[in-house]
Amino acid sequence: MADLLRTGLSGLLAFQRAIDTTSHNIANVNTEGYSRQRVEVGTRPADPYGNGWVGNGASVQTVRRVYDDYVSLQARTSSSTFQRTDTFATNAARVNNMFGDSDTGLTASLQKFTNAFQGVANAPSSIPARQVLLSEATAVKEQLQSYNSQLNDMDKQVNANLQGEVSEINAISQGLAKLNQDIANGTARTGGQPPNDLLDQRDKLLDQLAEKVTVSIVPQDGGQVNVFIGNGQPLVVGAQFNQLTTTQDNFDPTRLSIGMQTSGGVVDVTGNISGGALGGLLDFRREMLDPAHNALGKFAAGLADTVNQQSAKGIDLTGALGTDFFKVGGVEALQSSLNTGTGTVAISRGDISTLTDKDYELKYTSTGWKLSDANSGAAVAMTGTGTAADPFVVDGMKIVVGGTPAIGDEFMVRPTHGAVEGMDVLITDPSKVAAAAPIRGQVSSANTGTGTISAGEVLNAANAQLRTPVTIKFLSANTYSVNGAGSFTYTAGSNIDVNGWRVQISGAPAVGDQFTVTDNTSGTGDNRNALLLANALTKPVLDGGTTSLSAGVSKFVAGIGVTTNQAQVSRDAQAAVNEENQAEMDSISGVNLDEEAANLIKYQQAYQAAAQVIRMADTLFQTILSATSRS
Amino acid sequence: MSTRISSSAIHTNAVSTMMAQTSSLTKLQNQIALGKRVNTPADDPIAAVHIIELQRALKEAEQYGTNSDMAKNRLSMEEDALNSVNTSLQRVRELALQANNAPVDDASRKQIATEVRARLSELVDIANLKDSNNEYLFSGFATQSQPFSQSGSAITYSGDQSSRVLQIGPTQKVSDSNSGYEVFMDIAEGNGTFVVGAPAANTGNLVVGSSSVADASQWTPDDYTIQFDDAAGHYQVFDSGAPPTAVATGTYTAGSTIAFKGIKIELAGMPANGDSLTVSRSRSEDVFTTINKLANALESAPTTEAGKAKFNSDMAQVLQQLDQTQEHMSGIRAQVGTRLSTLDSATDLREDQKVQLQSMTSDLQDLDYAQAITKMNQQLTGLQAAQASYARISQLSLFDYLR
Repeated sequence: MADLLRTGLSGLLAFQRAIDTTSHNIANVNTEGYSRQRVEVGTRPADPYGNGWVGNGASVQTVRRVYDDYVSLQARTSSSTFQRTDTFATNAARVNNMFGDSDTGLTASLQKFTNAFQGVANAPSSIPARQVLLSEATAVKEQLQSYNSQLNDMDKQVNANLQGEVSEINAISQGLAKLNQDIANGTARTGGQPPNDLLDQRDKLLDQLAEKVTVSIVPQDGGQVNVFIGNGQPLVVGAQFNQLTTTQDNFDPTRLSIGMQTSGGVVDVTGNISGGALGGLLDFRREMLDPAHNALGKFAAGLADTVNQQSAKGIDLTGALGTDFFKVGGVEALQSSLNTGTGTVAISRGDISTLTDKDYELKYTSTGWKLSDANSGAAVAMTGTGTAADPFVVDGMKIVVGGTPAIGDEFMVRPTHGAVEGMDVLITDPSKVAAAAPIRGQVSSANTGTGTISAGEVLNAANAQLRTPVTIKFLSANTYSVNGAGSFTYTAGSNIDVNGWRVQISGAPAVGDQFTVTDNTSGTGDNRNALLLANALTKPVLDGGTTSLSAGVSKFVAGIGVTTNQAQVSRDAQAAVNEENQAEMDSISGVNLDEEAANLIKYQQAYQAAAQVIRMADTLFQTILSATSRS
Repeated sequence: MSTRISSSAIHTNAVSTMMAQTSSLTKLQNQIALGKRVNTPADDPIAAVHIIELQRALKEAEQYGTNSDMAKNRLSMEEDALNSVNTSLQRVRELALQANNAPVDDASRKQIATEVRARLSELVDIANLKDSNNEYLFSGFATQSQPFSQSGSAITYSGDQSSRVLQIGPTQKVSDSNSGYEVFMDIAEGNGTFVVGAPAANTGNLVVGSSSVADASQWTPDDYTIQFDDAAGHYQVFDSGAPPTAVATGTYTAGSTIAFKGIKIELAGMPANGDSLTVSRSRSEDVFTTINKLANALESAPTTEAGKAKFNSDMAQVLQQLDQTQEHMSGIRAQVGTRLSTLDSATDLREDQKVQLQSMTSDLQDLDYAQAITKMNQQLTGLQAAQASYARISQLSLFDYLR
């Protein structure tokens, strides 16, 4: 006879384990990262008898957590993507809100500034009108600088967030390394039984890590996992982990890069990091913050160049030629801290219409200086030889190189980044606004023909003879001399260019008729240059002469709107995907109290039945005992 | 989703659904409170950029409106000034006609001359008017310097010939003034084609009357001299060549006309041998010189035959020049009138455009309240239902039935 007592006891023990585990499940119903556990009960080895195998009851094979590696991998991937888009969208929304108001935006300020030029054109000698113009110019400058400083604050915020994320990642890595060790020990101690709660804890840390950065997880023998980030940078290997650090950028010490501390020193992994909150921050900085900074700079450079050029072609209330209206910060050439040579790079702005909002890297190679796009790495061709007489000319810049660079030396070139920071309104005296043109055309009152002369426009304000009076005298009906010299053919209405100015004479001048182009110092009521200034601001001066300043702002604001909108849409989409994956994981591993209640009833009944078996074994034993009793 | 669901998921799902509903309700509430559908570029990037551009265009149109008003003010001032000029000129002309009548004696002419000189000063005052911005109206670009100054009987112009242009539309520009040169100085002499002059050395009693162009195709612009070479009125017409070439000859009889090269000059009286007349291309004569000539003639009190003839010639020419001047002034006034009506039609156009811009902005930006409130009610109902159902479902548990 089989050992009825032992068989009953085995059932009792197995169901006790099952009830224990059910209680454990119920207790952990709200524990984050907990996977429900199941007792796997098997039959004990049966005893062979001549008439067959008689079973020996049940025993617990293992306590296993219900967990699906494939689903958890999916959930981690989607959580990395969601966190990236969420971080990006949250930060983008802040930039978006900055440029949101159409009443107070940059376009509105620019239009007010343009209108102020029209105001000066309406009353060129009015000091209040000129004062309004200077106030509007200052308002544009201050608005740009306020945007710029908000973007700088965001840059600092990004730095702070990078530091925060990196320290959290380090804490997680440390935890993972320790858990790897504990799991290996635990598994070994129980002869290969899974330490479920430790596994849950490790998976929870891996989930948290995936929220920070995209990871790839490689299981090892003995229950350990190795964790890699980027394209194979080892974060956790067994019980060892590598610290991440934030280091100063090689070019710009005000911004932080991500480094990994390895036995061979710190390796810059900024470019390799993707996904998660960390990837989202880096993407936001690269795709939104830097371009926004540069777009503002490009606008400022375009504005200053346009106004300054036209300003120089006019004269102010005192009759002096116009001076620069705005100044803006120049092109930045930042030397890498790793450079070993003594090469120098000096860069100035050239043709504004070819200026871009990119940053570049200038590198000295064995075949000379090479320029590339800082983001894409694509080569950018330069013309010229880099000397002062023949500078490298590229994308609105003139680059002059000098010194003795070493091969591999690099410079970060930022054509527009610092423009707004260094911006200022140079004219402070309202009378210095160059509203008038320096010359005017006049008809001699003794003329007998019907010829008329235009007021004239300035082609080259630098011409030394610009304001020297010139007399155009008609030698015949279709020839004229200039200051008594030469004989030029006259065509009605065609351009006559002398001394850096241009006039047109039309009609039919008679022989001996005279036209003079004279200095306009007394022209306090002249508004020609103010009108030209107002019109210059509406002309397409950017992007190869296709985009006006205000269209440039619209493009920029639209770009921010579209990027933010896209980020929000993909955040919402990723949130749905992520929720679904989490729900799927939860539906596999989560504890359902009704299920546990049912299990409890099931195991209770089985336990009670097993107890009955023991009682019956006792009864049987008593039967035998009484049957054999002498009394 | 599989059929299995964890107990905590029942709670978290319900909470996240309710949060999503609350969040979109908050957004709707924000839109309703502000009355705007687009609050940041991300709400609708395309619309946001359109709104920015529309509001820029609106501000630009408003500036053109201001410019237009400025131009209108100045042109109205100029129109008023030109009306006063016209009144003065009319009076001067009346005085000239009155003085030209035979019964008027030298003393009366001198009195008339006094009034003519007063009118001259009046004209100088008008020509030196300033606008509301304390700028001279008729000095061209040199708005800070007084354009006309009188020293003795001579009036000099120290402005320039330019006139300011204001922008009243993206491409439309209009002059807000005429220079003093244009208005007062650049008036064609004589009949506008040529002017006849009698040298003071003439001794006959030839009087130059009105002159005109009979056939413009025959006229060759040049300065001619009509030289009388006997007492019987035989004359030769020389051009300005060196040596002069005779281009016509003829004999003048008292009270007839001399005609050559398509022009006609009415004359009276007889020239002496050696007298001459000049026939010059028109240059310009300013209104002040004309009136000054009139005053001088009136004050001349001629005694000799030749002197009287010169007085008559001068009066005839002054009258012709006054006609020319009045015609010139009407031309300028017509120009100003055209500009004012251009401004009016540009203003009408601009007001239409502004209404258009505003309604487009409103279409893009403003919230459709009916739609928004309907949507809000729907979402409120949804949220309330979610709350009520959660409250019931969360109470279900098998443990309640374990005894």
